[in-house]
Amino acid sequence: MTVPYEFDEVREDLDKLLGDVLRSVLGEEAEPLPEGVDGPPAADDDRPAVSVLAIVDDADGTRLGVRVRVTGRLAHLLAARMFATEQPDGEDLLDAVGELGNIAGGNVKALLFGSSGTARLSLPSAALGGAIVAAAVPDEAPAPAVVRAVVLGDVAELTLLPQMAADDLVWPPVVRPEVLEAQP
Amino acid sequence: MKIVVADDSRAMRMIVVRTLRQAGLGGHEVLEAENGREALELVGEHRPDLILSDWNMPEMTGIQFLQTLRARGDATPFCFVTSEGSEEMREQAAAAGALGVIAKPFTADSFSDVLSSVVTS
Repeated sequence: MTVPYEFDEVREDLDKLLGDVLRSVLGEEAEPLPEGVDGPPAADDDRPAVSVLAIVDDADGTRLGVRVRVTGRLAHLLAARMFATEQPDGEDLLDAVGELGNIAGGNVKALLFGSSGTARLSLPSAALGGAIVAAAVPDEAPAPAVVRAVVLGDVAELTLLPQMAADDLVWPPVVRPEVLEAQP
Repeated sequence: MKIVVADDSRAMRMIVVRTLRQAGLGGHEVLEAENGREALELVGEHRPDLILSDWNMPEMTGIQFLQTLRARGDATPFCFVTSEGSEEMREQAAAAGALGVIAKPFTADSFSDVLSSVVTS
């Protein structure tokens, strides 16, 4: 199955998807930002957090990157609520932001690759602040789709990146159960 | 009851346990695993009454975990809690013997709907 990479038809679905995911993990309403509208700026010293995954369809080589980016402040709030603690540490933040990306990625896969039996979703790779590495997308790749929402006064962003390189991500194993069964 | 919760995200394991409680299905002994292989070992050691498992995990995925259990003749009630809830996955889960698939994001109601028949409060 080939994803058309023209996202206008699903923009409303993507807005809803981002809002639903944020609401579920934060317990707060998220307001979608119209295209081209700037949301509230992050603090100058804010260190953003990013979760990156990829969906690959082995049948035809379709690759789609899924990136969720939130402010450091929002990442902190997210981890605090997920772990029910006032002082989440860096590992908590990575886990929380990774899971945010995982939920978004799974829902993007269901939305765009729902009828494909061959598409696979990677595990999330999360990073904070200076550790964030730009997603590798070839120059000729179609334009990404970006939807954003404001939640708790901060902007959360979901970006779909056609043809993103996915080799460096971690993938769940593809092993037949009888092989596993034979192991001690 | 003993419940095994398998998910590579510690945050999600906590959320699953919290949601069980919010659904009125809490108060049970919960055993946590980071992937299917760890969960398989826990099942062998502790004989749980219910397994809640993510689908996408390192080492051994949820569907591999379920298929391995069933191949061993283990019929422990098994439910997926996963970010992917496509029809194709639901069919695959049902064919492998899963009780159901709870898709993330989920609510306490979705837990009640799927699990109230096998979890007593």
